[in-house]
Parts: sequence; C-alpha cells; structure tokens
Amino acid sequence: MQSDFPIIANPYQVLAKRLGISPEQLLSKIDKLKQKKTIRRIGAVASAAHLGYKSMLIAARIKPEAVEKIAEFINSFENVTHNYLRKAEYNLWFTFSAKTNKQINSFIAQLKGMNGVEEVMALPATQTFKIKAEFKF
Amino acid sequence: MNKLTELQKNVLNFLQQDIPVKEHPYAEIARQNKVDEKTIVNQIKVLKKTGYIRRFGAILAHHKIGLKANCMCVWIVPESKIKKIADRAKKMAQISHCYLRKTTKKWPYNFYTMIHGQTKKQCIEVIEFLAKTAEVTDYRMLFTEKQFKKSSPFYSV
Repeated sequence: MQSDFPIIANPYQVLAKRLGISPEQLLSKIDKLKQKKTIRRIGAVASAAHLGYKSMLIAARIKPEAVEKIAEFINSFENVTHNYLRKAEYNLWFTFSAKTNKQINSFIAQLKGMNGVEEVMALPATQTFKIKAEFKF
Repeated sequence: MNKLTELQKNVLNFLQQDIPVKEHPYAEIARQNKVDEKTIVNQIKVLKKTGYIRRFGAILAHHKIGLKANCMCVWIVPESKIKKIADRAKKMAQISHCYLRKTTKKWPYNFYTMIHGQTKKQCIEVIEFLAKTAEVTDYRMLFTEKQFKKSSPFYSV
C-alpha cells in the first residue's frame, strides 16, 4: 500500500485479492492500522515544486528554557510540516513551505523577534538527490 | 504551473487529505464534481504521470514501524566528491532524503542525509559506511531528540 496502491475505482478490492483476503477483512485491518496511527493517512504526496511551493529548511538556536514555547509557535503555522529538537548549537530544525520568499522571510523576521530566539538560519536546498518516504520493515 | 483544470485542482486537494477507507473511495468526490469515478481515476493517473503527485498510497509513521532512531547527518563534502557520495547515498535504503544546501559562515555543512534505523547504532553504522566508501571525513550526526511536529504537507491548489 505504500508504493503500489492501485489507481482504480475500487483499490481495496484489488489489494484484498492480491493479499488473498476479503475486501471487508482488508478494510477492517486498515481501520485498525489507522487507529493505531501506524498508517498516518492514505492519499497523495503532491510535488511542492510542481505547485509553485518552495520548502525551506530552517535551523534556530533557541534558549533551552524557551524551546517548548517557540516550538509551539512554529507548529501553529500550517506551512510547517516537520519540526525537530536536535542536539547541536542550533537546536530546533524545521521546514517552512510557502509560495514566495517574501512569506518565508517575513516568518523568519517574526521568529527572530521572539524572546529566547538567539539565531535563525535558512538553508535552502541547491540540489535534491533523493526524496523517498517508503519504508521497508 | 496553473495549467490544472478545476477538476484536477479539486482532485489534488482531495487526495492530499485522507481518502476514505471504503470500497469506492472516489464515489463522493466524483458526485461533488458531477463526474463518474472513472473520470476521477483518470485524472489521478494524469496527475501522477505529470509529476504533480509524487507518491500515492499509504503514508506510515516511521516510529510506529520500529524505526525509532532518526538522524540528520550533515557533511562537509568537497565539490570533487559530491557526485560520489550522492550516488552512494541514493542507493542506500536507510537514507530517505539527500540534499545539497547553501552554507553559512557559521555552518559550513553543504551535504545533508536523513537516516532512519531501529536503533542509533544502526544509523551510525550506515553513516560510517557511507563516510568510508565515499571517503568523506567531516560530518556531524544530529539525532532527533524530540519530534515536535510531523505531518503531511498540504499544498492548496
């Protein structure tokens, strides 16, 4: 289901057949995996570039006591899909997607003005070699 | 970029959410757009073929499937070795993302790899193997200490 999801009106029937189970059994298994949040969702990952979006990796140096609060502020933006704490002088790493550099820059300016934010750097990709989100397990 | 039809835009916005777990997941969107399911399916195929859809299917939470250690490894790779290390990284299943990025005065790392493993040790082994085979010695491993947010992007069209 991660990489070979049939594009057809009744995909679950096709998948059930492939797995040798009934469509009802498959649907109930999928429901369970979604309840457990093993499957985050079923759908499409759109190409940001095709739709005119730029995705920026941003690293920030935040005072440890302010990290939770700043992370919460950053997360409140829909443009942010990933936000991680890492052990480095720049401790908060996240991505911000927008259609224009202006939007990205104005977000960065806003962030820089917040208490506890010591430094922010934008790290645009100059070349993408690989984006893969399927996992073997 | 805006060569998409209204129907294609609606399909793309719909698919970026969570499609229904039903025998006919496109019945509702077809009805809303006053077309049949086959038309929706054909549009999905077109969007995939033209690259608007990068991937289609189930999106899993990697920490739920045992990949509990996640590492961003940043590297200082000289120009002459970029192709070599990128080619190797691309072939490694444990590496999901690989980019070249702009550097700053304080941050000289130009090459980025995201590594996923069951344990930190596994990630370190992958990184050390890549370092050895690509003959790059300058790198830093930034493990994920905490995940504040991880969601699917939604690009409204």
